[in-house]
Amino acid sequence: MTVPRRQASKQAAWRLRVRLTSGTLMWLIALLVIGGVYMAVNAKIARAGRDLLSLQISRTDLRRINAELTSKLAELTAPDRMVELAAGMGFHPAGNDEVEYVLVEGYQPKEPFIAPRPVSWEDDIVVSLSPAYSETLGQWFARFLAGERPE
Amino acid sequence: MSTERKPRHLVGLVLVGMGAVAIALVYQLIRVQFGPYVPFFAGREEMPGIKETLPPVRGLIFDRDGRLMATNKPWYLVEVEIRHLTERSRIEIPVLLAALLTLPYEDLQDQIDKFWEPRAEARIRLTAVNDSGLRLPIWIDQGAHDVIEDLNESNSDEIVLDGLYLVPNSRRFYPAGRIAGHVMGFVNQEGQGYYGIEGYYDDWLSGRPIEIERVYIPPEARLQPNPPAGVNLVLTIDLEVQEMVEAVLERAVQNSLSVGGQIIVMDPGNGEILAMAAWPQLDPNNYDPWLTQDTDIPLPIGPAVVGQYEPGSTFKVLTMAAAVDAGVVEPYDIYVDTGMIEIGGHQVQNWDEGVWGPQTMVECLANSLNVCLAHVGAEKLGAVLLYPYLSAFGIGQPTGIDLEGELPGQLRTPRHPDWTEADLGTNSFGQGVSVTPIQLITAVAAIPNGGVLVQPHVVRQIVGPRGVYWPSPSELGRPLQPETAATVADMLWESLQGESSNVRVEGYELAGKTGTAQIATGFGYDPRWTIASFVGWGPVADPRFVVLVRLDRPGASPWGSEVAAPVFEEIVARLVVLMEIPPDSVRDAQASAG
Repeated sequence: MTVPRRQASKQAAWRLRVRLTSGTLMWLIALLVIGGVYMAVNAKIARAGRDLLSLQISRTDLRRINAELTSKLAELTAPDRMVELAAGMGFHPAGNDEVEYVLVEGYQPKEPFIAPRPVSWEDDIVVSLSPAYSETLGQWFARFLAGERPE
Repeated sequence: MSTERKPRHLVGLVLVGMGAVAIALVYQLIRVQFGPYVPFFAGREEMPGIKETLPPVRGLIFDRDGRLMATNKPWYLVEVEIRHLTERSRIEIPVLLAALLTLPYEDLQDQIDKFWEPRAEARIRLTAVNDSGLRLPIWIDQGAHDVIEDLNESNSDEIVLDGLYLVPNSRRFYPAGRIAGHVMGFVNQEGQGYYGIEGYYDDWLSGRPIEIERVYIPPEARLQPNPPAGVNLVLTIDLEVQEMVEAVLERAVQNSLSVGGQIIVMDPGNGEILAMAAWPQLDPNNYDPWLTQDTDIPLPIGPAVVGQYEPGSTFKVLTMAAAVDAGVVEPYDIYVDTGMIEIGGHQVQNWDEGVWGPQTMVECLANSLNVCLAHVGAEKLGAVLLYPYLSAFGIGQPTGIDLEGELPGQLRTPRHPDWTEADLGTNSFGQGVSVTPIQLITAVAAIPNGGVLVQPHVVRQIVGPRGVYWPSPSELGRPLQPETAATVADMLWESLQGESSNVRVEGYELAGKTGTAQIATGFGYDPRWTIASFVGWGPVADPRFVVLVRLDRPGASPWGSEVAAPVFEEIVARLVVLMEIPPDSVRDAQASAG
């Protein structure tokens, strides 16, 4: 013979408390687990974002340093400075009467200089990301139904 | 009783503990998500500047061998945030800047004090008066920046710099300084290019600024795009040749006591400008003096393309080429020079007012006889033939060179209301017509180039984000037949042997013509001054360069043969080495060996 639940609760009030407590605990644990997972993911994103921000700052600094060094190098090797340095070392510009031309079989003149490509926003988009990071679940499902290989 | 209560307390404690953990978790989540910018809370900090315009990187400029001619150097603007100033930093910032940058302390202090008293919520950019009397923002270079940063970060009590901010920026920098300054032009503080390459290609070089949303919360951070940078340019200029030409020009101006001068070196085959020098030099890193010139006739920037002048005898080359091409004279036709010819009521005389007697056309060129050339232009060619030929040589029209501000010169044809028949005679020997140096060298270059007129240009390669573009040489026309061009080249080689200039470079055959032009004023020609010039090319059998030398108002001698021709000779002697041009004998041996 089974005792109805309401009657059982009336007969022992502790049962109700246990049920309430366990229910609340269960929800609280679920909340904590979900919150914890969310927190972990969020912290990871925050760390990645922080790294990205600091990388962007250091990229800007490096570009600045690079520009400074490049211009300094160009300034130090400017032709008038090189001529001055050479003169200081006892050299003088060769006159046409001081040069001897020798025919060299198979001599190839140097290739023309090609300038580097300028920095562009397109240069940054070099990593191809998996669709998992750019599409919604619905889009993935639609692709799945369309027979495309899910990634 | 106590045994019954314990579990209830324990459960309560667990619940409270877990609740506390849950609250802490939510609090931390909000902190991570929003940082200091938590919504709904009173006293929260405002989200800092969301939208920001990112300036693009201005394109670089290289010479033909990859040597950097224009780049962007980091510089810093000096700014002061008034609300962050302290009593000490208000005094110590101007003291430091005055000592470090050699600036007047009082001026800096005044700028800060103007905003200090009302405690204005302002950020001011400090300025200084430059040598030209202009008040401009203070820029400091990386070295000065590092000194200030080190002092700021040392946290010592010796100096307090609260409120001082060094705002990074970039400025155009020309590593070669004055070398090729007139070709480069310059870029002002707003990043706008003027004159020369910088002016002509400003839209291409400057790139495109973009607006970005600057995010300061790590979870919201995204990869920021770079603004599309300007294209990189490779010039036809050879920096070594340019340096050599500038040095020779400087010496020539000093030795001849000239007020200025220009030299252009061009490849006649494709119109590439290998060097383009002008004196006085323009330093694009410090262009202010050129903008505040206090002279009656301000010196032009880029005189090779804007410096119009009456070319004088160098123009005889074009008249003679036209006459030979039209078949009205041949190189050894004889003209009896009587020392004077009257055309349209105007009497033309020779440069020495002498009578030269029977002269071949080659001798007419070698002795630079005005009377002979006026006869050829006015009586042999006539207006019907001469002016179409001169137009075909591009006289009176801009060449289209890729440098900003090119002027077209002036050629009055019979259609012009002020044209008279006398013009026909004077135009034939280079008077009453004005050209720019680039126009004259382009026209003359058609002779060593087989009669083909090629557009001069200074950009060899344009490199954008999508690839490399090589502009191809543009043909402007064919004023001469190839046979005529060869004949005229021989005439000019032969005439150069007979000229008083005595231009010789051992091992190389050269052709060319001297010029001594009077300077036109509003009241006729200035009797005191001339423009001395020389235009020539070499090697005659395989032309690799055309050189134009122009010296303005030489005080040492007015004659092109005495002051400009030796400059041509000096340049060619170095040019054949720098361009690795073998002597004629070596080239002939190479050709005969196959």
